[in-house]
Amino acid sequence: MALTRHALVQYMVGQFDIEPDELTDDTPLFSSGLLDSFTLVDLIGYIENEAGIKVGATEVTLENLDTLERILAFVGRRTS
Amino acid sequence: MTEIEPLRTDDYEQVAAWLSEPNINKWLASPWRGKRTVPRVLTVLCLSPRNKLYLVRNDGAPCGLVGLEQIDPIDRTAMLWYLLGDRGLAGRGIMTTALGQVVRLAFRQLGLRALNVSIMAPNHASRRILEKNGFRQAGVLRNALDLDGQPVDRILYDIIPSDLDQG
Repeated sequence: MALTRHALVQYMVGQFDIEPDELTDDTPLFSSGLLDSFTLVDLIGYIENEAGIKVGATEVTLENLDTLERILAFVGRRTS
Repeated sequence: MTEIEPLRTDDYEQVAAWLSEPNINKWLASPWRGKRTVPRVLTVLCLSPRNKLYLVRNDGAPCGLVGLEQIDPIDRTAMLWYLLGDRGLAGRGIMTTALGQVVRLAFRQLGLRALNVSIMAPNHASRRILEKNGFRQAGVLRNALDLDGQPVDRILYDIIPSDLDQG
């Protein structure tokens, strides 16, 4: 399974009431308050399902999850 | 002795279980209410500098939680919430002491200037904890919360550093 940028954006726009214009590759998602704790948990669940990975507790970091770019890079590392 | 300490990863499972306990969960804010809390929510919550969670220990044993949320570094305010996880310790003043410790920490170490709390009106035990610590009622939003399917008033409390000096 692969997680694409397009699919990720579609999911976030559909689930979290975010406008596509608000999302660039480096838009801070959580540290900016765009996503709250509960929506980030939902997003992690989506990433796990789509990418076929399990995100460990120590991997739940802003470095891995706070932007689209970081999410895709993290998933890339985990699935390569 | 009652002590507070920053919540650690090892505590998440215990705290998630408290948050999911029906007799505790029903008093929580709506994002938490009516659902089981998984430890991952706490992992995520602690990622943000806008949230600080403190484990409460009574004679060394974990028994509760006090949280500062929506910490605003510009206005220097935060929202406070708390729970006693070990219900067998109710009525001993543990949460009153713990809340006071977090309030002082918020004002003296974090530099905050005001804290606010939202309480369901029928939660008399929680209101007593606030009033013993010098919180003042700041307003009432009628029918603003749901308790077991019934609308209840939302009571807002706040405290500023000078309220502590008067306590």
